[in-house]
Amino acid sequence: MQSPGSSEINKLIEVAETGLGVGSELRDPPPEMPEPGRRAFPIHEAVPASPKFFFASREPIRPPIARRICEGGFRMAEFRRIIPWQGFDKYSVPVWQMVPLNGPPRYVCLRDGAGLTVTSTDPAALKITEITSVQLPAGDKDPIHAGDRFFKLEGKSWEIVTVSATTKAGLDVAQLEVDIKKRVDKKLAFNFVSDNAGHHTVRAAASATQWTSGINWIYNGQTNIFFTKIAARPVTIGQDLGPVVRFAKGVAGVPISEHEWDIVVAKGEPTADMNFFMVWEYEQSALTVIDGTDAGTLGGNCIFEDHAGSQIVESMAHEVGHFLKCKDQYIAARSYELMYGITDTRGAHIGKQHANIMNL
Amino acid sequence: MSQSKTWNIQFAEKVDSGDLGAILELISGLQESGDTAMLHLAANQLESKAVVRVADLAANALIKKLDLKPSFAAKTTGYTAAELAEIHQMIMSSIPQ
Repeated sequence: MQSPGSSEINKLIEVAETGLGVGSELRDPPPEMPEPGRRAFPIHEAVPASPKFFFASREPIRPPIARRICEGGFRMAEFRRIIPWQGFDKYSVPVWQMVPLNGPPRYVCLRDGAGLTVTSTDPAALKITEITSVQLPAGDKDPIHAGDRFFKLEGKSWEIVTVSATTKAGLDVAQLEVDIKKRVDKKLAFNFVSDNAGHHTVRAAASATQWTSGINWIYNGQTNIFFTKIAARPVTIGQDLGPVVRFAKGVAGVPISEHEWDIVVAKGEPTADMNFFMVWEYEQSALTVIDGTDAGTLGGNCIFEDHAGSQIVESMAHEVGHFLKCKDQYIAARSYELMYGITDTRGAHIGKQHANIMNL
Repeated sequence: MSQSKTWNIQFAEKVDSGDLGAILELISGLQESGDTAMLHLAANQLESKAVVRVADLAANALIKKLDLKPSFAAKTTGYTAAELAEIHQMIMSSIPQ
C-alpha cells in the first residue's frame, strides 16, 4: 500500500467512516477477558502512584549530553555503558540502568567526571562503589577512555533510584536512573508438532536447550527474567492440518474451518508459562503465496514455523516479548530493538520502555 | 508476531511513525484486509492522542471487523480512554501478535 498525499486525507476520513456504523447490540459483555492472575497492560490504564510503575509512554529520544564549564574550556560528563547486554539504555532520558535486586552487580562508566561527587537518592536501596578498571569483571567491554571512572551498582531493595554526578558547588551535571528489579522466573515448553497426514516440523527437540540458553542470554542481563526449559517433546495432532497451520479468526479471505490455532495449542504443556509449537508452516493472514508471518503469539502460546528465517533465537525471544505483554514496532531506526517486528532484521536490545513492561 | 521481509514493511513503518495518510488508508481498508498484523497496527491507533478522531475511527473499524462486543454502546466518535483500552485489550487477547 502507498501512503496518500495530504490532499486525499479528507477523502480517506470519509471512506474510513463509511460503513463503520455499528449497532446497539454491542452492549453485551466482552467474550474474552484477560487471563486471571496475569497482569495486562491496556494502553490507557491508569498509572498507579507507585514509583515502580514509572515508564515512558512515549518513545525515548537520544538524551542531551550533560555539560559543565570548567577552567577555560567546555567539558562533558555523562554516565555510559561499560559492559554490553547488561540493561543499559542510552536512549532513555536520563540514561537508564537495570540492576538486579540482590543479584549480580551492574557496572557503569562516568566519562569526563573527574572531581564530581556521585550520589544516589536512596543509598540504602542502591549500594554504589567506585572501582578501578582493573576491578571490572572479565569479558566484553566498551572502549575505555583516559579519565573514565567506574562504579559498581548493587540493588538492595525494589526501588527506582536516581544517581547524580554533582560539582562541588552542588550543580547536578549528569544523571543515571537505576531501576532495581526483582528476579522473575518463567517456564518454557517446546512442542514439536506433527499431524496424522504426514506433516511435521523439521526442527529437532535437541535444539531446545540451545534456544533456551539464547533466550536467557538476551533476557537475563537486560531484564532479570530467567527461563527454564521444562519440556521438549513431540505432539501429534489427530487430524490433517494441511500444508499451512492457520489462525483464521478475523482474517478476511480465510474460511473459519481453517482455524487450527486452538487445536494445536490445546496440546500444550499445562505447567509451562509459555508453550512454543514448532510447525512446518504458519500463517495468520489471507496471503497464500507470500510467506508473511513467521510466528505468532497469543497469551502463553506461540506457533513458530520452520521457515522463520535464520535468527531463530532472536525471533523466539521476540515472541517471548509478546508473552511478556510487549507489542511489535516497525520503526526501521529502532530495528536494533528486540520488539522490532521483522524477522532477521531485529536486534536484541531491550530498553527501559520494554523492560518495564516485561518486568516491573 | 514475526513478519517476513516480504511483508509490507514500508507501509507498516509509515503507520507506526504516525503518517496520517497511511493510518487512514489502513483504517479504511481494514474490512477487506486479510492481514492480522494490520489489525494490530490499527489497534495501536487506539492510543492515538494527537489526532483524537483516529482513535475513534480505528475503534469502530476494529469493532466491525472483528465483531467485537464491548461492554459499552458503539458511537461515531468520542470514545473514552477506558473504552478504547477495553477494545485494545479484547484485540490483544484474541489475535496473535
